[in-house]
Amino acid sequence: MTERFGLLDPEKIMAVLLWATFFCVIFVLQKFAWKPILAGLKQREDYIRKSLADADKIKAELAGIEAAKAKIFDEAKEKANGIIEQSRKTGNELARQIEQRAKQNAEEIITSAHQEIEGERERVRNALKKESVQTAVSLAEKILKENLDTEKNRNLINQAIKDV
Amino acid sequence: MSAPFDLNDFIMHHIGDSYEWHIPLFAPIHLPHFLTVHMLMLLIGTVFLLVLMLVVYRKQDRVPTGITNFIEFFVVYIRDEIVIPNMGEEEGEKFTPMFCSFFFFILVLNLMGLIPVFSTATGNINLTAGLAFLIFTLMVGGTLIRGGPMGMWHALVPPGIPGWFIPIMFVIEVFLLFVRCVALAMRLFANMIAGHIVITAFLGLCVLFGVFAGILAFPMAVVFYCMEIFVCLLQAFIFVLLSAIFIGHMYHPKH
Repeated sequence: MTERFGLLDPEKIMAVLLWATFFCVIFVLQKFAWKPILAGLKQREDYIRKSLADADKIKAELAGIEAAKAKIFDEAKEKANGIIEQSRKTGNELARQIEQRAKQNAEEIITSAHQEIEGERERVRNALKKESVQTAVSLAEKILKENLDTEKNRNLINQAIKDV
Repeated sequence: MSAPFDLNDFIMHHIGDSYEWHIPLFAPIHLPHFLTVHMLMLLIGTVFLLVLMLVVYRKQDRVPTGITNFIEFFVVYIRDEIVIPNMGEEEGEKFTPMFCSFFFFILVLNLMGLIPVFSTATGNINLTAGLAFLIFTLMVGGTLIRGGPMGMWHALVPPGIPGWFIPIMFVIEVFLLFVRCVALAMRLFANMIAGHIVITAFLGLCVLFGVFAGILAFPMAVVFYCMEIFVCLLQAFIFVLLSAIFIGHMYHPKH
């Protein structure tokens, strides 16, 4: 029959063996397991903590860059709007000046043309006067040289007028 | 003619300690007289734990997976949720390896009892008492080393209580000191043995009453077996948690 222990029977060797094995476990695992495991865990925790901090920092920097980009974009937009507005004003001013100058030139041309027409008319009138005087003088000479009758005189005058 | 089936003997055979190691389908192995089955389980469990931690666990893994992840989960939990809250940051860091050793040592011995070839070493009162004695040594010895006799006095008798109450308080605290350690030993022992008694009782019913009882008893044994896995884990956790609380109370008496 196998010797069997009761549930509460003391076994001194068991206690001694337990302490021997347990101290062996503590010593070996402390040196080769727990120390490296805990160090590795701490290292990983630090790495994760640092990575999260870096990620937050990068996120903040990115937000700053985004804000700066938006600011630059707004400024550029504002500047472009200013340039467009300025160009429009300059264009309008230039157009107004060109129009004014064109009007002035046209007026000058018209005035000059008027003056030329007037001068030409004056010149023609003078020439006509001169021609009329010469005709009158030549007619008078003819009248005086030739003693004609009234009917003849009238014909002569009509002929002279027609010649003019 | 074979002897009638004795359920009590069947149960005691499975949970008690002896010099015979029964392996299913093989003849019993007779162990030498200085080595019982529970002692053998203790040695096998120790070797298994050392192999698990020194060979299987991969320390170099940057992203832990599998067994490494499983072990690290418990190590982190013991450090952050059990040891440091009860013993403080500085001492907690120092004591974490020891409590991890306690936890995995008890867990391995508990779980070994669920494998048919092996037996539950933690179902032996001598082993659980030995573990509780280590905790007692840490409580008393640690307090004396840290604060001397006065430190021990303050740990047992809180300051500010009326003079006439000091002797009563001292006796109660000394008594509690022993009771706590005895409770540690009894709790682990009783829980481990109770689960195995229930499982073997249900399996014994199958043998005793035949197939019809087995239809009900066998599934119940399976259910209790599954529950026992959880109990093994829970008892290892409770032992370590209570040990940390008791040692923490002795080292940092708050009362």
